[in-house]
Amino acid sequence: MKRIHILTKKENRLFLLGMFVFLVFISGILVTAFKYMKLNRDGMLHELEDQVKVGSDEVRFYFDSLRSDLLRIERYLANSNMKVDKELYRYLDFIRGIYPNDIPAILVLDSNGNMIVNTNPDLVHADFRKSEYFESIQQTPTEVFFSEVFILSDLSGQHKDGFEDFDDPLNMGFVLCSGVYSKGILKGYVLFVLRAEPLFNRYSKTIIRPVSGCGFILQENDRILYHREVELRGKFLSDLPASSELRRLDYLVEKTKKETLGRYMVITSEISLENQRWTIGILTTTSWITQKTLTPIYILSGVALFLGAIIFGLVFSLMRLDRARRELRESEERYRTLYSTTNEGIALHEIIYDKSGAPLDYRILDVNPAFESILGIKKEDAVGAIASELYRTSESPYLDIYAKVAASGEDTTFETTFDPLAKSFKISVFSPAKGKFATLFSDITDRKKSEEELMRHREHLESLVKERTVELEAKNAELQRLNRLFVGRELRMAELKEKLRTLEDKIRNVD
Amino acid sequence: MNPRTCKFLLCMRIAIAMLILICFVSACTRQESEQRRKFTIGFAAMNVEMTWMKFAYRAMCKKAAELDVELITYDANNDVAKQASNIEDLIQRGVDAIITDPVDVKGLIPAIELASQRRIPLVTFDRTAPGAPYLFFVGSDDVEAGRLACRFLAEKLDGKGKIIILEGDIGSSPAINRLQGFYEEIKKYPDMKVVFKKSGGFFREEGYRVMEEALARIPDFDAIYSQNDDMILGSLEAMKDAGIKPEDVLTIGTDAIPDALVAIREGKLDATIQYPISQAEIALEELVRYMETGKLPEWKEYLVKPWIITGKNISTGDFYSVIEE
Repeated sequence: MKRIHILTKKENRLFLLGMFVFLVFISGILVTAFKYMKLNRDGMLHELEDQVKVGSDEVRFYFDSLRSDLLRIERYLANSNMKVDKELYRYLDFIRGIYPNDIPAILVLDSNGNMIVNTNPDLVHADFRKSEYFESIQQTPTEVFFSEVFILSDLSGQHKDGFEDFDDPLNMGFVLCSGVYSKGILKGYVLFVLRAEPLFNRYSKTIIRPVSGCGFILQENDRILYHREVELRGKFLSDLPASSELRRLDYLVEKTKKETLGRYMVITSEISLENQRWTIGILTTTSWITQKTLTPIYILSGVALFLGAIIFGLVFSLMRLDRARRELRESEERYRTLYSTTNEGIALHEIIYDKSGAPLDYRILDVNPAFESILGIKKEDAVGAIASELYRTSESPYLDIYAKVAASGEDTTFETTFDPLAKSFKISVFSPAKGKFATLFSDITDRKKSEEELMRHREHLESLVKERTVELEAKNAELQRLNRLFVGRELRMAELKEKLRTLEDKIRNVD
Repeated sequence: MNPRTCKFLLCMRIAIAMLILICFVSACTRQESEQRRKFTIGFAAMNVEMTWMKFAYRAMCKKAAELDVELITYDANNDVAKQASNIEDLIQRGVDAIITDPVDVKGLIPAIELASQRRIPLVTFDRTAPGAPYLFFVGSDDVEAGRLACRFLAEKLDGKGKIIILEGDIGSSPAINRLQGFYEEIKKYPDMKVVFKKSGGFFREEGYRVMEEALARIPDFDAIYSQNDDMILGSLEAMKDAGIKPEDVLTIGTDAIPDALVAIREGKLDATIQYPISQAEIALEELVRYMETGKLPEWKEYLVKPWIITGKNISTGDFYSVIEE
């Protein structure tokens, strides 16, 4: 049956102390973790806001460099009074070299909208006067104008209806244009036809790494210019299904710069591009934010549990150590009492070996009070003494037996009479450690004497029995002889009687 | 006849008529419900800005409309981590199946494994991810495309010349396989040497910049092999800006996008290798068939054979009709 340990008061106190320390520790860790989680969440949101700003700056920088190139051409044309020469073409080629894939066409129109310069052969027959953006340019020719997004294949404005359909989100484009003025008179227009994707991808690439969701760009009129989901590009928020959480995006981006939208977290920044205002933002899932912010909790909880386990381990180890010490102490006490009060002599010895490792003698290390009373040797004299000297013998008593036990560790018991003390002993020998042995002995001199007396009596009785046996044997032989004699006589008498009977019969027959 | 019996028979007739009507309506409703529900297929695109992929996307949209399935496309902007995250988001969104063209041969494996664990069929096209548990792959024989390009250059240069290679996105299967095919073939021509090789990431701007660097470092070369058309078109621009006539250099691209066909027609580009757009359509078609019937195609990998397009056979290009418009 398993022994049930009941905690002592001291152990109970230690356990409660351990629990208290553990709870304090866990509370501290959790408070720290929650504080860190909040800091982490705030830090991450700041980081995301920074990412949005970096993305906005990227778009603005790209746009400003395009704008600056556009204005350089505008100045060149204004200064040369709309002169189209090799220098102009060289300059246009240079700009297209800077943006090899971003500007499908650079166009120069006269004040009536007729094409003077065109870098894209596909647009030779295009008529820009019909286009919606050309109408807008004419309304504000003094400023750099940034057109609405449109399908590039509708560049000439011949298919205005196609603009609304927006069935090819990968073919989106803009026109960046400026009126060319010379001495205050409108001479014409210069237009950069821009592909939308390179512009948006510059933004997308800056925010792509840290976010689980995606970046987006929203026009003032709620048209989605960029979104990871390609099919959404070019659509208005109102075009989305009523169930879509994104429909509330416009409301949120107007209301706040950082808001939760269903399962999304929206972080936005506004950017002004000439006549347009775009909202640039990051749309990430709240679960991603939570997951990221919970990471320190997971880590710290793990650390807390680990350290908690160590604390509890230490507490239980201390409790077990304390219990073990107490039990050891009690055990020692018990054995000490037994050692002191037993009638049997106990002595601890160590073997003394010579250089070759052969046992030479043994030294007494400790003895109990019974040793003194049995052997009549004082403890002070015995402890530390060499056996041969103490017992005044030429050889240490029973060295061969003791050395064997000390070497092998196998217990043995034997009875012997120790002549120098004229006493008999029963000695049990065991080895507590290699090279050491302990003897547990009792004085059996009286018992031995009794045994010897008994032996003598037995021998005397045996001799008496033997004497009586001889006498009996002699008498028995005499009796046997007499018996044989009487039996012979009887037999003779019987024979004679038979002969008499026979004679009597003969006589009778004769008669 | 007893009027009561007549009434009873009338009631019976009405009841039978009602029963037949109910059975008919029920059958029609069941027939309607048994019609295939509209599948939603997520397309985790590598980068729709790449010209070939743009056309592949359009072809896929057209095929999706034809097959009456909804296509949701998430663009990864050539970022493998983003593509993996996009696949996870598509899984969360509850799409019925996923089609993808992995940015990287290894980076997407965990996301594909996740789709497999969620029992969402996933197929790859254009690019593969060896070791990933995708259902099947439809692509083009990129190794053969590399061999074809090398053979074309060797033939035109009589087996002797210095070649510049514009490599694609390093780590992507087309870049690896096309290069493997090219190097396998060039061993047969000991006098043909690759004098410069650098990645332009499959982008036109990068092609322009890599070519600028090549011109600065290697002024003497005979031919350019580009692993896609965007890069070769960028390099043609770079040569033009450096005062080198593109007509004087032997050039070959890959993909046969409309701009490359135009360049061939104008004599600026010597050849391109048709990277068949049909692989996107085949992949989508086979995926939808699998979802409808539960039967996988007999093949695990389907490779469409590429071919060389020059001025002589320009009309065989997938996008010839586009430039004709």
